[in-house]
Amino acid sequence: MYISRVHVKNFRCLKDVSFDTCKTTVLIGENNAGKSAVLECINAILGQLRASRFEPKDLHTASKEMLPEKRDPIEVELEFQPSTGTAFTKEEHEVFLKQFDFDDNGLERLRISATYSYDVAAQEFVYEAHFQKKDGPGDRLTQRYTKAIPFYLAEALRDLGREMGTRGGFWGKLMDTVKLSDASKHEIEKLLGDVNAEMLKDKTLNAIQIKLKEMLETVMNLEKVKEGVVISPLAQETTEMVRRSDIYLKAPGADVYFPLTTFGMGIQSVGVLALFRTYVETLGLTNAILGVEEPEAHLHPHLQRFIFGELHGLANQVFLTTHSTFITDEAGLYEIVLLKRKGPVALARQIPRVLPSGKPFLEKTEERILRNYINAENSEVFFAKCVILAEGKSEKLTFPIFAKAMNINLDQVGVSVLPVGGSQFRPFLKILSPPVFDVSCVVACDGDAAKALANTLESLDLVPKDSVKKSLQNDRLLEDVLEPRRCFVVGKVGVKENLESFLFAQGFVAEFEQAISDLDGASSLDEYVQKRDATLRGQGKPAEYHKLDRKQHILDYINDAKPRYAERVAELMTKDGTTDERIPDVFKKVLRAAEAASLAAVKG
Amino acid sequence: MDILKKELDPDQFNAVSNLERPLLVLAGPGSGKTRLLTHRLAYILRSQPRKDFKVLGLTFTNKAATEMMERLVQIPGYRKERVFVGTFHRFCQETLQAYACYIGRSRHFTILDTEGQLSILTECLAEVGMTRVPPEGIKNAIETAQKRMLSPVLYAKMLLSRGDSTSAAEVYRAYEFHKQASEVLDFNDLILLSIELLRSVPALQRIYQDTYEFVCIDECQDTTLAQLELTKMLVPQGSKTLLAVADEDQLIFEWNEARVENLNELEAHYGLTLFNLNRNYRCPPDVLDLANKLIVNNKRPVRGEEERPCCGEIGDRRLLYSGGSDRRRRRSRVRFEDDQDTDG
Repeated sequence: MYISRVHVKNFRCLKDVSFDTCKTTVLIGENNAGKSAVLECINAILGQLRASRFEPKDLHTASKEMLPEKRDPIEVELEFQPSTGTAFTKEEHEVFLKQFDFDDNGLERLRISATYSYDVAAQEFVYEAHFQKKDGPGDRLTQRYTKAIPFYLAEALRDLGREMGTRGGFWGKLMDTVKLSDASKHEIEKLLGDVNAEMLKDKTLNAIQIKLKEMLETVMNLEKVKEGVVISPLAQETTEMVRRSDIYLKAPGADVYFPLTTFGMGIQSVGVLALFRTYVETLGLTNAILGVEEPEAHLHPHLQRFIFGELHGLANQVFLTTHSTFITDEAGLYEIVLLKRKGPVALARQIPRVLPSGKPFLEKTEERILRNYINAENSEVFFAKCVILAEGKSEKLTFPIFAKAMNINLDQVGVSVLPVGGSQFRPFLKILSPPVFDVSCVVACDGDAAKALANTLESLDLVPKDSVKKSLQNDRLLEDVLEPRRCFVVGKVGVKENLESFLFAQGFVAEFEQAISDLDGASSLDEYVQKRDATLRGQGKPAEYHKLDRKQHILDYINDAKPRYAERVAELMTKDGTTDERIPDVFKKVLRAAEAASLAAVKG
Repeated sequence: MDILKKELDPDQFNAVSNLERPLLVLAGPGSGKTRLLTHRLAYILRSQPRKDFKVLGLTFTNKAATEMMERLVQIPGYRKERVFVGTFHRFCQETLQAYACYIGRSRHFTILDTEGQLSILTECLAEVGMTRVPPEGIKNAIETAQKRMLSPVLYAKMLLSRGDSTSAAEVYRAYEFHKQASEVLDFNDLILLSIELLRSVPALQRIYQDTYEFVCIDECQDTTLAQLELTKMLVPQGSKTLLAVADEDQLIFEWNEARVENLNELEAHYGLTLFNLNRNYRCPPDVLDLANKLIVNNKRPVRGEEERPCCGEIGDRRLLYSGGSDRRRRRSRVRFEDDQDTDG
């Protein structure tokens, strides 16, 4: 079984947050948006190792002045569903026999309610957790139950030493499962005794032992006994020895083994996750749930993807928080939960699988488009405060240069440019608009796609009904529909034009010529013209390409690999981002709108 | 296993350890039924290494349940969390306390004692203008209907078909209404509502079937139609591990709507394999001899076997059936059975 829904009220910044969860749930959001709070909240209820319970300081409040006793209680509801199909396993049925709940379709589920509140009569804070049924509470959530759905939290600062060193860690628990036979114990303990005796032949060690013995005998007023004090360099008991076991790792290229705990943070971090996996597999904890904060910590990109793949592939449910686009890229669209901060309150956003009508929220083709275009390079949109949706890569490369020239730092204000690959704005607007991720959008679209974009806005209820039709009658599509929704058209409405042809038409011919020369070499344009003539000659046609206008030569040349030149052209236009004088108005509008939207998002 | 062989005779051991097919153990008085059931439960606990199962031992009386538990706790391998031993009523009570809300009932019901039943019935009789009828009489009529799984509507139909007045059914209806309004249940409700619950929530039936893979039922000769239905809900047809124990000559609850037909139906439904326990460990030979002489007078043989119980030696006994009144008289003279409390 796995947690299928989480609803948290009044826990730290989580005033009232609820979201559906998958077998793997990827919690993203800015720092301090409440990602870790979600994990710690689950840990307080189901945590098994070093789980800290709720404390008065965890109660949500907008003002520090308010005493914890007066704050609203923490209320958490966790819903569980079967891992596969519609029925829990036989073992789960046995454990939770009388605790199940049934939805309106008679399908089984488990619901756990936990509250933490101030009991005025008892003058203390009280934690209470129980199963929830249709008409009220079921049994209390006792250890017997939480042990069957244990939660383990690996914090951002994963400390392998802690997991290895204390009995509370995975390692100690794991080693406790080792049961040596009596015969083997006896044999080992005998050997240990021999080794200890051998070591005590060392003069210094022996002298220390004698001194200690004398002193302790005096202090404790003991009779002089021959073997009263023994220094034991090795553990004398096998259980103690097993517990003290350490993991050694051979460094690549070296012949020496070092304790795992002495390796760098990245390896240690992986080590903790490896320990968890071994732990749940050895103890057969198929229902264990793992929370991992920032699995990407200290790892290079390939290892980040690898670790995520490992976590994703676990039989266990995993909740993770991340800031890594390498991870969001690998995650499924529905696995992502975006936590946003609006003032003192955190909100959770995600892509719904189905609409209330039962129809899928995203159609199959829309899912495919989103998967194609939101890759590692682009999945930063989930982290952005504002996204500029543009048709192609040219915009992605030129907008930051224009912005720089306009004194806007896109990274600082949290703006991402997302090329949607043509004019397929619909699925992106769908998932970025409220009530899904609720990330502000600015659209820069080409003239020929403007009408379709307007219709998309209307069909998604982002502009009033029939407003497109009305505006078209008045020839005011741009003014009345698109621009108020922060959608801007590069070129003229209805005219096929892209960023390159637009810039070209705006007269930046010299810049293009310069860009070609800079990127491909000074003679490359001339060579291109000769090649075109040679092709014509080969076809038995008159070789008169060179007679065409220089402008046409440039246009044909750049048609091969547009984005390469657009970026350089932008640099030349803005004198390497130092002046915005020659930037066409439409781009200025796009970037100013993005900046404003982003600043508004911060204010909440 | 060796302990079992030491403690049980070969017949008992075979019955205890057979998990290949469903069994109906026919056991005479004093032949060690309770011991057999106890060892059966303990055997299952020890022989099934998996964690995900419970054993369910259903009895008809609290006394039998207590006796079984007292013995069970002493047996090595006993694990409290894996065992439910109790009466049908107790089992149903716990089920309803957990799940009654899913058939629109309260989970926090009170169970009516006889006094409470009579007090409600007095009110109901007044409502339908039958103040002269003693509540005790109508109580018996209603309980008979309940045990035959007749709702007030069906009961009225039955009365009509016999040309009787339907006023008893009206009182029955009023009685049901009163109980529901005041969140009380009588003993028969416990069984009937559990059947309704498992029928209306199929997922729950699967949960119980999954959990109680091993079911043993004591004193099956006392099964009412409602209890038979409940058994069918709890134990899937095709179960290889059901063990029912019965003594057909001891239909002690016949006045409680238990009928030998129910036992026959149970046997047919699950294709139970018959298993005879022959030795009597409780009675001296002369008592048994007398009992067998009396049983011979029974009118309707059920199994057609012509053997009699013997005392600690190999031998079989005769399984016969006679009409109710005859048998009741017989029981008043030869009483082996001491389970007399019927409070569930």
